[in-house]
Amino acid sequence: MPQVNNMSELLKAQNITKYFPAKSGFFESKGALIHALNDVSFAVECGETLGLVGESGCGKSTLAKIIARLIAPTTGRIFFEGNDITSVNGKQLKRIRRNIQFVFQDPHASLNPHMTIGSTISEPFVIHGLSGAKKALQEAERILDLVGISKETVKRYPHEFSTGQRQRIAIARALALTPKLIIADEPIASLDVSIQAQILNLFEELKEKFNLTYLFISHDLRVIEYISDRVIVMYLGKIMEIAESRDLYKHPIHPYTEALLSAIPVICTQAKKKRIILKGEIPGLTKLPSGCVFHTRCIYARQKCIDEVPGLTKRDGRSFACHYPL
Amino acid sequence: MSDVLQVKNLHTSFFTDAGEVKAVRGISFSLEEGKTLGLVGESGSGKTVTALSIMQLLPNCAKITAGSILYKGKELLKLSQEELRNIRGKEISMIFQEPMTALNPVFTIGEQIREAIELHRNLNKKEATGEVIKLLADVGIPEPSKRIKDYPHQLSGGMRQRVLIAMALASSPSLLIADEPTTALDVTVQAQILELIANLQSKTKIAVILITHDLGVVAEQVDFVAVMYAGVIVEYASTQDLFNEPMHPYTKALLNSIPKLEDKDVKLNTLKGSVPPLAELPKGCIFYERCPENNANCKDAAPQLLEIKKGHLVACRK
Repeated sequence: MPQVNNMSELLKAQNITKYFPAKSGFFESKGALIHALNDVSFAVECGETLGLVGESGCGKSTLAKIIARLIAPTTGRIFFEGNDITSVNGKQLKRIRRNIQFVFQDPHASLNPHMTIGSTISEPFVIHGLSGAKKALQEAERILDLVGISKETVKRYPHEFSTGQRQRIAIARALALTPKLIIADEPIASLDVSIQAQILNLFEELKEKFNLTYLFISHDLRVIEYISDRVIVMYLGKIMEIAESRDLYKHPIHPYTEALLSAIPVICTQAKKKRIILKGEIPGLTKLPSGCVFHTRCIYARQKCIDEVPGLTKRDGRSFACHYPL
Repeated sequence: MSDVLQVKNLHTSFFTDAGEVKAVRGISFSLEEGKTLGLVGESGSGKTVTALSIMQLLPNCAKITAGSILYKGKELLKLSQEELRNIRGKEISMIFQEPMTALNPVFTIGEQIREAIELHRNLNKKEATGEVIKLLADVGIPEPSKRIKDYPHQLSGGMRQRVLIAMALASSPSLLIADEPTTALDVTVQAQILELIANLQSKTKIAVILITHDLGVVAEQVDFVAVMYAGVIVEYASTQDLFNEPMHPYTKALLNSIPKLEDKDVKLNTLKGSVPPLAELPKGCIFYERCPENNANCKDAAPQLLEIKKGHLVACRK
């Protein structure tokens, strides 16, 4: 199991906050801010799979984009292998990009329809000046083979492949330059269950083969449990709980985690578990609730939860933001 | 028990430039009052086409080529458009996956639900509005008398789905077809909506066809399950039988491809390949190519859906 140790930290996010200006219109007053992320700190250890789970609007994707340096945080710092990469650019950024790669949710949108898959996958080699076009194409064939796509297909275009195959190609592209960290943002959400399982297995195989580290984002708690070593649970732009996967699922400490877990429909026809149905809706991000952001829907909420913001407390190797942990 | 719905040997085809595509190829099932049938399968297995065939809301290029659909003993396929309109929405309602596109953005939700009531019931405007407020309260929308003036974009996904359910229930139908009603929703909201449907069902004895690709939802919500693959039902059983003793290799594979919450170190069993294109189906068993248990017999003739145990039907030679 990964230890908390500075040496093995691949990536660290420190107090990341991100506000987006809300569009001014009929319903939003001018100058309102969308609080997408609020003071998020965590670390990704070398060789682990860190799962990031939460409902829509909790800031999962924004966080991923900030880490990959696709958008800039409002405040906060990002460290990669101990170096501050929050504001690097030019050549340095290019070097970071080689090591942090992204797999997106929708492989219909993430592959260029005008490029053959061979040129899509070989392009990174040329961009980073690692090899000429011809050799890059051979590399592409090799990588396609790894993800289970026949190398005879390098001259084909994305539309000639099924969704599952396209996701394999997108993974091949991310893998091309043997990055250290792969951020996968809902990589299987658009796939059928039997194909989901194939892709999950592929992620696991590649991890072993290339000693990869994953930040794996999903709204599906079953998938997150299956693939992750540690899990971060987010709600309304804040971290609610961080724990080793098996601890989290066996014994959630945060009431939100408990409610999320109880909402998963389970395949077990005998014992029906007690389900916690959360009341109400996820509040809007322009006006966050006072105190603990979850208090409006929490079944255990008390006065302190309305008044005071709970900090991320550490105990027994796990972290949680709750005044009255379970 | 009286069957609300009986579907017999239903065939539906799409007529495209590339030729006939047989989307549903001879499926039969029946559904009793107050019960829920789950239609499960991957994309392209014919779940939605089955639902649209029952509602007769198929696009112009599609046609029901054979079979019969009996609603309370009445043949739906022989009705005129006029007669159909009296059944559709009044006796049989449908809710769709994407609650944003299913609602009209330029009318308030109050107006949209009232329209459904006025079409099928003899109420004046004031009575109908009262009924709308009552329906919205039934589906758990807070402050319904204020909310009726809201437009769809002012509501969240979960609220919109509640509005659609309210609309579907407006004329107290006997059959509700719910096509992936929670797929677009977050898991905590999904739990709310599924509970709502179950509560309404125990109150009104409505029969429900629940279409979903999520086997977890099926296990929790339905009484009977029909597993579909490439346009046919490959297995039909009570929920308990299906999950305790899945018989068709496809059902088994589907169950195995879901990560379980307990044993995480087990590698997921996966199916090879993907669903074959419907335009070029093999002669024998449609699952032959991907089946881990296939043998030479399977290639030659398509297996029939046969009753292996009481109430448990399987289409497999083994």
